[in-house]
This record gives sequence, structure tokens and C-alpha cells, in this order.
Amino acid sequence: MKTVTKIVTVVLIVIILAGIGAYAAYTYMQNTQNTQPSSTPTPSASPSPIPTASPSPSPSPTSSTSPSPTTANPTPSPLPRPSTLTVATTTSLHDTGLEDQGIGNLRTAFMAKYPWITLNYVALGTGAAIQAAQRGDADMILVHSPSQEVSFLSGGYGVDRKIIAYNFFVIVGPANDPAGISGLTNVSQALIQIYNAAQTNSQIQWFTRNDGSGTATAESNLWKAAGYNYTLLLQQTSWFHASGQGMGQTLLIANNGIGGGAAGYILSDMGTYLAYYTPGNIQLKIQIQAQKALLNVYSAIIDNPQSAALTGINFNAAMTFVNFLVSDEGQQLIGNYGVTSYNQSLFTPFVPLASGTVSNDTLLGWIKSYAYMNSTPAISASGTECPSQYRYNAGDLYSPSYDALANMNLSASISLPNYYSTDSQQLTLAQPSTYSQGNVKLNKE
Amino acid sequence: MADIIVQAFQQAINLITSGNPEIYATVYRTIYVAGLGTLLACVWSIPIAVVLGLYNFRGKWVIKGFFNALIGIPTVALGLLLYLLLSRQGEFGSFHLLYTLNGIAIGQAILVTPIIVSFTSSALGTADTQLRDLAKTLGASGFRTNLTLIRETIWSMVLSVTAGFNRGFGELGIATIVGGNLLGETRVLTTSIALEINFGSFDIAMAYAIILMAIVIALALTISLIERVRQEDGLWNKMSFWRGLGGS
Repeated sequence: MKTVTKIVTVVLIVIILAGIGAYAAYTYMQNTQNTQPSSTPTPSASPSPIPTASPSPSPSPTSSTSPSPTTANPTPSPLPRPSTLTVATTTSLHDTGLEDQGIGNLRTAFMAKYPWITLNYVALGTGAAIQAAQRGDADMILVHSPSQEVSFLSGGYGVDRKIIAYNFFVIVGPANDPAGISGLTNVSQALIQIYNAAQTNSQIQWFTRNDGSGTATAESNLWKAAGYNYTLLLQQTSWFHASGQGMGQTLLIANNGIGGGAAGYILSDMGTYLAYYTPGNIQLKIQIQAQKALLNVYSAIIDNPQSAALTGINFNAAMTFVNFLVSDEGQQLIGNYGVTSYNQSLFTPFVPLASGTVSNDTLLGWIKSYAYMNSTPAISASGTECPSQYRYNAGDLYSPSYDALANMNLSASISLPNYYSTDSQQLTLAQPSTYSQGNVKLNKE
Repeated sequence: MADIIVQAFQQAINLITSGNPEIYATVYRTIYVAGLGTLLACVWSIPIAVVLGLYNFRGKWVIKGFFNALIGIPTVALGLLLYLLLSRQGEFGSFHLLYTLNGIAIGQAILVTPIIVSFTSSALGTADTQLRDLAKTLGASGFRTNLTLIRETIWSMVLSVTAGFNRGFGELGIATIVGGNLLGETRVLTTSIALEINFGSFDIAMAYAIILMAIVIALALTISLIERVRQEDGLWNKMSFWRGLGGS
């Protein structure tokens, strides 16, 4: 009896494994048939200069004959050599999905346009991302921490800084708002109120990341502006909790509360908050939003190829990507990102605002005093995106008319996304908005 | 690479001698969760191991195989399962264990159970059968027989409990997901290492790793020393260091 059971068990296992193996082989065969190129591509046959992808193209740039540049053929004949571009970015930006995971993300569009460049992201805390770029493990950075960007430039690690987009941090908290901060227009006042209430009311809890990220830096600056020493606050662990982790994880902790404690308040970026709120993973509600103090500006900086340690970086691909980001197509993608998934855009593209296509002097003034740099380098509203000594082979990235336009007073209509409304309860809006439509109401200081 | 290791050792000395209470608190918390977890695990693992080791029944091989397989369970998978159970919407949310040290301890107890069960039961299973027959012929009841066998294999039991403690001491998944890595509350050595890596401070991260390994190695050496002293009859006398303390 025992022997029979053993034999039956072994036979069953063999059959199951064989079944799985057969299914895997079948799926593999299907996939390889689908991706096989139907014919060898020739550059002149297709209207675009980009042939369908073959796994290892190896044209040498000098061997193929190039037609004279005066012909109407739009095809540049030497195919650029395939290369990899590594972008070091922060987890908050990466987790929104804008870079490579969401619908309408940058990677898909960029690699469709430039298929010889493989775009990879390394998502870490801002501090670690900048370190990776300094060591040459990445070719460029995409971060949101102006003070650390100043150090990156002044240390000789970076060139060609370009502000790509901006949005606002929000302070979210439990729906019943035990500290009563909802709708306050002064962040410092709200923080003071939370601090005082937390001393006596155990229902008031604050959660912070404290992981060296751009968001963490912005938050500690807010506490400093309110008059508190962040390091001393960290010691009050009865109500002030530091997770040392990314935005999403800390939102989950804030939503759940510690042990049996209440849900807490937390500073978050809009993208991550929506990414967690929309599918119902958290139930925290927006309490304070869209003020000068909560501005969040995203910039791209390329590694400095003149630096001895960084000569091997892929400068050309990085420059191509930065140009893509500030092109009309890139800015459109950025401005429209999030509409499909969350009914509102998560980022506002910066180039229309800087070039005067969109006119909002107040907002532009906020961004300049938060993220522009003078030649020291230091943060200064009278400076530019990138001091001239840190511009290298920039081409027309900083066209003079662009800088001039930024200071002009154009009277075009104001166009900003709908979600900067003062109604803190209204998150999903009736009309999905692109960056070229919609009204804006800002909480001015 | 070599300079990072040197820096790491320097940082390790710095951390230990700096007197920063947070460092000591982190070490204490790590020992607490691993120790409490292992203790809890022993409470239910030893009886299971005794049953598995000393008794025969149908389907025993399935249960043994099951525990053997679970030795290598990924800690993130277990952390995820516990998170779903312990969060507010989970079945055990009302116990309020999420993001607390006790929650991590319970998670580590579950993690460590298969290790203790497997190693102990296999040690008991291969215990000397002649001893069992001898005990029976001398009139010992079933219970006394088992007790005798357990006493004989107690050293393997100590080893398996130590292995369990080490596994809990050095695991990351449960401490991160269930504990939340909260500064001053649930931050342990392994989550500190992960945190410093994310900061880019590799020397401090490696310093924490060195402290972790030092504790584990010290514990292992202590147990080896005790075993050696136990086994060699005259060793206690030979060690003149202890003679003055009244060794016989």
C-alpha cells in the first residue's frame, strides 16, 4: 500500500512538471515568433530614419554611404551606435510612474523616438541618487532639491541644469482633522498648531521620512521656518515618527497609525499621495495645499564630462534626453501625466511658464526665489536656471530669447491644472484637465 | 573597496565609543525582537519537534518536508503576509501590533519556527535507539524515555535555537514591513543598514553590519566554548583562570 502511494505521488509530480514545462516552451515559441523582424530593414525604405528594432545593430558610423545633405531624403543614414543612458532619480518622482511605469510615461515616448538609447532609471533617495551620479554610476540626475543641486554644481559634478516641471507638496491627514489645520493658508501656523496640540492630545501624530530625500529636506525647512529644531523634534517619539523610508511606505504607516494609535499628518508630494489614495490604499485627506511654502520644483542636471572622474559618462544621450524633456512633446507628456489614472495632472511643465507662453508672474516669482541660481552659485531669484559657468555644450538649451522671455510680462491667459483648488475635499474633478486648460486659484502668502 | 572596509571598521569603533544612546538602543531592540521571537518559537516548536522526532505516524514525511521547506521562507513574503493580517483592515488588526517591536517579535517567532522544528526533530530522530530500548527495559514509561532522549540531544537543541536566533537577528523583511523602521521605536540593526545604504553612507552601513556580525560571532563562540568546557572533563580544572573561582 505504501509503495503504491509513493509511486502515484511521484508520477503526479512528474506530470505536473511536464505540463508546466510544455506550457512554458509553448509560450516561449509564441513570443519569439512575434518579435522576429519580418524583413531586413533598409534606411531608405521607411519614411522615418528609425528601422524596426533588431537586437544588435552594428553599423559603423563611417562605413555607410551618406547621401548628400541637399537631397530631400529626411533619413540621416549613419545609425547612431546603441548606448545606455542611466538617470539617477528620486523615489518620489519615480514612484509616480511618470518616468517609466505609468500610462503615458517618459521612457516609452523617448525610446520610441530614440530607439538606440536604452533609458534606465536608478531610483534612490535624493542623497543616494546624487552620490551615484558623483561616482559616475549615472549619467544625469532628475531630482527636486535645489540646495543639493547647488552643491552638485558647485562641486564640479554637474553641468547644464534645466528646470523641467513643478508641483506642490500637500499636508495630508486624518479625515476628522483633530488638529484643525484644514484649509489654513499659512503652513508655519499649521505646524505650530500641530505641535502644540500634540503635546496634550495623543490623537495628534506626525509622520516624517527623514531619509535624506528632497521631500525630507523640504519638510525640515518647513519646520525650521515655523521655529522648530527638526533634530529635537525627532526625539519626541510619542507623536513625531520618522520612518527613514520612501514616500509610499511612510504614507502607509501614517494611514495605519502606530500600534493602536490614530492616523497621522504627513507632508507628501501630490503624485505619490494620489497614487495611493485613488485605489483606496490610504484614506488620508488633503488638509493644506498649493502655497509658496509648499512649492516643489524638479530639475535635470547632466554629469560634468570635464571632471576627471566622470569622463566616461554618456553625455550625448543625456543631452538628447534633456532636450526631449524641454521639447514641446516632452512638456506635453509631463503636463498630461496622471489625467488617465487620477483625473488630474500631477506635474505642471515649467517651460511654458518660463518662456512666457503661460503667464503667471506670481508663480514664476515663487519658482525663481526657490530654485533659480546666481553665479556664486547660490539660490537667488535674480539668477537663472543654470549659471553660465556650468553650461557646457548646451547648444540652444538656453537660447537667449528663452531667458529674455522669462523676464517679460506677457499677458497671455493663465493656464494651470485644476487641482490647485482651495477646496480640500475635492480631489477627483469633473473635467480631466490638460496643462493648457483650466482655472487656477492659488493660496497666496 | 579596501579603503571602505578600513573606514567601516573605524566607523564601527566610532559608533560604539560615541556613547550615542540611539546606537545602544538599536542593538538592544535587535536583541529584544530576536530573543523574544526565538523564545516564543521554542514554546511551540519544541513540543512539535519532539512529536515529529520521537513518534511515527502516517503522513509524518509530509509534515517534516513541509517544515524543511519553510526554513528558507523569504522574509519579505512573511512580512507581507503579516502586514496584511496586522493592518487595520486585517483579521488581527485589533491587536494593534503593526509598527511595534512586539509585532516584529511575533513575525520572527513564525520565521524561526521551521528552523527549530526541523533541526531538533532530526536530531531526536537519529538519537541512539539503543538508549531508548535500554530505558524501556529499565522500566521507564514512555514519557520518561522521551525525557531521557531529549536530555541526550540537548546540545543539538541549543544549536538549533541559536541558529533560529541568528536568523531572526539578521533578517530584514519582517523588521521593515511589520516594524516600519521608525526612529527610536522599531529601528533595528538590519533596517539601519538598509537606511544608511539608501543615504549613500556606505561606511556607516558597513559599520552596522560589522557590529551585527560581531554580536553573532561572539554569541556563537560563547556557546562553542561552553560546549567545549562541558565535553572535556578536565578542561574546567585546566583553565587556571577559573580555578580561583572555586572550580573543583
